[in-house]
Amino acid sequence: MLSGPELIKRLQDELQAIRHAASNAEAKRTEYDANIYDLVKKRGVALLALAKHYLPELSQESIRDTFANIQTELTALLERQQRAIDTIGEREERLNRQYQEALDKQKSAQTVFDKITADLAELEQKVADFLKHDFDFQTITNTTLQAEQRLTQNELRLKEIKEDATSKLPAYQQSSLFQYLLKQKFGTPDYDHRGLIRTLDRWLARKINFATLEQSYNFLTHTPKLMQTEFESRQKEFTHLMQQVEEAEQQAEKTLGLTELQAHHETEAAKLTQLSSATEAVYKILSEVQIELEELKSSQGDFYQSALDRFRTFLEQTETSVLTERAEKTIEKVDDDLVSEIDWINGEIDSLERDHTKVNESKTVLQSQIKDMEFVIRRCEQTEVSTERCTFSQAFNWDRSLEQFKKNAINGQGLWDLIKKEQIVAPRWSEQTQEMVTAAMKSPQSRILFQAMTHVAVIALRSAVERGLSRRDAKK
Amino acid sequence: MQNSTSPIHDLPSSSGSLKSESMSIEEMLRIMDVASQFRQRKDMVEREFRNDESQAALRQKLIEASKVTGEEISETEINAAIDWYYDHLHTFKPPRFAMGLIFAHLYIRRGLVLGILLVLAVVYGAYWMWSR
Repeated sequence: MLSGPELIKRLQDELQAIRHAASNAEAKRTEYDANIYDLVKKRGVALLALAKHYLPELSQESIRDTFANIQTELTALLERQQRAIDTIGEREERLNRQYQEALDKQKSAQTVFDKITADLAELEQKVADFLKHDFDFQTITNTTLQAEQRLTQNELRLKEIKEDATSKLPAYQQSSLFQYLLKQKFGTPDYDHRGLIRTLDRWLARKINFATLEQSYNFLTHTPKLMQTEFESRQKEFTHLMQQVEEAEQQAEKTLGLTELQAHHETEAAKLTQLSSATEAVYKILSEVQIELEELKSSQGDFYQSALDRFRTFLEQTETSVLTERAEKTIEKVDDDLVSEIDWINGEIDSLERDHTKVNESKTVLQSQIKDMEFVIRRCEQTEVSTERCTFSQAFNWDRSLEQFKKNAINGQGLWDLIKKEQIVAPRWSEQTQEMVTAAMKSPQSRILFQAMTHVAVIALRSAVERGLSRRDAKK
Repeated sequence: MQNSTSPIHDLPSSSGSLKSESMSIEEMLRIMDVASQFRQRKDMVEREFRNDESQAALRQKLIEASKVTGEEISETEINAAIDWYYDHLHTFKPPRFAMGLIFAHLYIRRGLVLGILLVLAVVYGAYWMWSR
């Protein structure tokens, strides 16, 4: 005999099996999808190869060799290509003219510039010769050079003396005896001590050799400042000399016309740079247009690719029998092979699609069964079926019912109705006791016994109440 | 360079009433003294700027002197000696330690020393008065 929990356990096992089957169906479906995708890809390659075979280039002759239904469309594409070539060609011619004009202008500007550069070099040499023979200029140049050398040496020496002072002065500043005499202004007209102090100060000055120390101290304190002042003065002098040299040079350049020529040279250089930039810009655009035109003229260009795409789509939509018929008419074997390959691929795709549909349907059924089985299990768990009191008779053929469910002969609701119908639920303990009391009351002997017991109980209660009342009255 | 203070401020004002004709000999000497000081400073600065020339001249003199005295001193040794001399020139030389030096330090701090002695004397006097 099958109990309720055992039934639920079997239902759960069955649900697990259906889920497993659904998962297998999904895996198979994915596999079919991948295979179909690969075949479609292969068919695409074969179709493209066939399209290229019938249309090796975009020309009137090639179009004539294709199918009649697509020829109008391909001819329209060819005409569009020709129009585009004409438009770009005109643009190229225009740019070519512009480029030649810009090049001519640049060449003439370059000639002028080269001449001015040569004149400039000649005039510069003249100015140099002139200045070389100018005694005053040579004198001032030599003086400036010497001043520059001297200034460099002076700068180094000034740096040295500053470093020397920085390193040696702290010792003087830290000596209390020396600083005392310095503050007293010893040895200067401002020193105003007399008598013993003067005598002792003299003794101290001799003791520390103040005269020598003061001389060195003054040297270290004042010399760097004096040298700095002198260095700055010499710097100014040098700057003045440099100005004189530059002025002399400028004067000579102006007199001989070099300044004017330099300005002219700069103007021409700027003009040449501008023209070069303009020529370069035109050349860049021209190159781009030429490349574009080359691509357009090419039989393998964008227009050819568009024509090929369109032709391939046409071949894809054309019946294989038509393609076979056409292939048989040609001498080459290539198209025969390609068409037979396409035919075989189409057959494979059809077969796979059929299998795919079947698996898909099976998966849908299994998913529906999963839902139904989940519904039945849920119901069983919510009712007495999940308790041990629920059993099923030996006559209930569970396997047959389950088989019917699997074959979709009954759905979830049908299965649940069958379970409800076949379940035997044992009564609870309280229900059993109540039934026993009811059964006892139905017997005449039992009823007389029950009435006697009730009568005795009533008498006992009444006498107890009377005793209570008499005791209360006695107390009062 | 003995005196760092400039004597220029002692000169009479250029906008004053004195004229060259009415200048005394003393005033003219003072102006000459200022001019001399300027020249000396300029010479000193020039000398310092041309220190390498001075060193070269000293080197030459030392070489000649060594030849005269017959001492075999190499040019490298002379160069090292000159470098040493210029490195130590104007370096502070502290006085040698002696008792006199301690006295010298006490002397320059005489105000402080006398103050301490005075305080000690007052303290001692007060103690003497109290203990009598």
